[in-house]
Amino acid sequence: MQHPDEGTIHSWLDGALSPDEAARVEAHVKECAQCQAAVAEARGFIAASSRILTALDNAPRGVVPATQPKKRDRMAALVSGFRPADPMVWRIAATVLVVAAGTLVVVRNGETYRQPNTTSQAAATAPVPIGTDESVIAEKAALKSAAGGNTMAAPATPPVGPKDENVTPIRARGGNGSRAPEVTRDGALPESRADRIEQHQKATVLERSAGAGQPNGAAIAVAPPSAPLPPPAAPQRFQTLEGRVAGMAAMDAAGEEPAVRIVGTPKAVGKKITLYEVTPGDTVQLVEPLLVSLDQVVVTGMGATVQAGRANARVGKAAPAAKVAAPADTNRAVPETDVATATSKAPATMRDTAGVRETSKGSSLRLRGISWGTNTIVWIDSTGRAISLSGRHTEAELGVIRRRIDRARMAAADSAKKNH
Amino acid sequence: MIVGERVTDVERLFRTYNAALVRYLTRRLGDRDWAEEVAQETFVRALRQTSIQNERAWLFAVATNLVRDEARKDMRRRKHLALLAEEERDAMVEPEETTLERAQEAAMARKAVDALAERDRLALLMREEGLDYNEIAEALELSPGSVGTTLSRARRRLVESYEALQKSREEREKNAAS
Repeated sequence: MQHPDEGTIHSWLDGALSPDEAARVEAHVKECAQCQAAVAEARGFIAASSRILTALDNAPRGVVPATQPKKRDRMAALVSGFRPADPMVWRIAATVLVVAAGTLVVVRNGETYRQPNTTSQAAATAPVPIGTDESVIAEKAALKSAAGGNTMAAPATPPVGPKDENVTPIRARGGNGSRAPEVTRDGALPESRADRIEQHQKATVLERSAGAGQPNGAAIAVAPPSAPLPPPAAPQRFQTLEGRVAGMAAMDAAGEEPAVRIVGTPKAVGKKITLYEVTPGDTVQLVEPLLVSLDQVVVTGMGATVQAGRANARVGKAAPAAKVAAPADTNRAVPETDVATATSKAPATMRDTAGVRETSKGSSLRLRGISWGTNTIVWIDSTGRAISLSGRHTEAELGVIRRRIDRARMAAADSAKKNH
Repeated sequence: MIVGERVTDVERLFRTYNAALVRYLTRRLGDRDWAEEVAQETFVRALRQTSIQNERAWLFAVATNLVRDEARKDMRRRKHLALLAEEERDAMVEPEETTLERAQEAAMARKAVDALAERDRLALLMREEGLDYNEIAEALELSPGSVGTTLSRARRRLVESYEALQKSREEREKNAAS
């Protein structure tokens, strides 16, 4: 055989040759010192070029400012329709909706869609309180209880009396289920494609929810069936311009809600990493230094109870006006101090920037997916461990997610206790 | 429900390929934000497809073409630069962990990658994301037989120009020291 050329050697090393060819090259190389040198060199090039390309990933992301205010402002302006949009931005927005929104459309529109085929989901929103620490998302929650609370009630039993009346403004505007509700159409999504996409998404969500409904339904059924009425004023808010923005925020909150799910626990030395899925395709990473701690152990393998906890948390958030009940309360049993809200490109480079941003008022208006960088928040828990949570969210959102994780864990620990 | 399936599929595509695609584009463009925009646009395009034969090759090809189209649009570039300048003025938090050393390495890597011919560069970046020869050939409209040659050339040149940069830097430092 002739000496294989450099391209063939690379193909061989890359495993791209047919078995026959590979065998031939191998046989030749075994006996040809010259080609052995060439192979060694090629291996060197392959390794070195990989390493060089990896160095690109270390590049400081100089173009990304700490908080990316520009983007967020831009998007906020777009959402409220103040400025004509670059079509690209709309496409991105549409994608973000598709990918991140997940079940939220069910929450908002499920009732119109699901009425024809009534499903088995238990119908009740529960009077569970939100703790005082919920003030950040109070607005979201209020809106949600209008949109989400109704929806939860809708699928199974025919809506009862006054609740139904509350629904009406939205449903009337949403039409007979074949169209997107006015909330989003009303000028907020001028491009018809975005609209179509939203409909696609609804269709998917509908399918998915049929399968996914069960565990939630079970958990919800535990709660008292007397649902508190959502504030009657809330639906009307959707009709104002401001309301549209708020509506998006509500969507955001609703979309986040059902899914603090543990999707992975990558192994790491000296720390415990948990990946939580916030919405489909959207995960955050929780890093805790590894200490021997009982509740930590309890929480880890607790798929089912975490799920129950999730439902609890969800119910709690959905009913802001309600009376005090246990699960959300336990949340405050562990006092935690925010030491820093850091923005960083990598978890290792946390920095104290602007203090506790998650309590800022504007937080409820921020949409997920608009912060493209990865942010990290850090806090010290009751045992003095520095825990960090990072994800592609604003710090405010991370703050909310953190509470959701906390709550899910609390509930998980709680129900674990009950089981013993 | 075809429509629903399609969206679900895009979701799956997104989960499966987004990380690799963004890394590929970031390496290609040197700008993470831009890379993410292009990646998202790519998935939006996927949404419009009824069927995609080889997903990975398709996604990388579309992303590559988007980059090419974008690069042609002078406007887009100017806007981007304007944005950069604007953001530069804003309070910028440099990751402190990025040492000078690493920054220099990254800058040299960038230079070396930029010095490659476009096709070589793209083939190499795709290979680094795990695309096989057939996928690379499909994405770049090459014949599968020429991928090995393309890659070997790309790797050799990348390494050689990186080493040349390294050498000249060392010399500069030596001169500065003496």
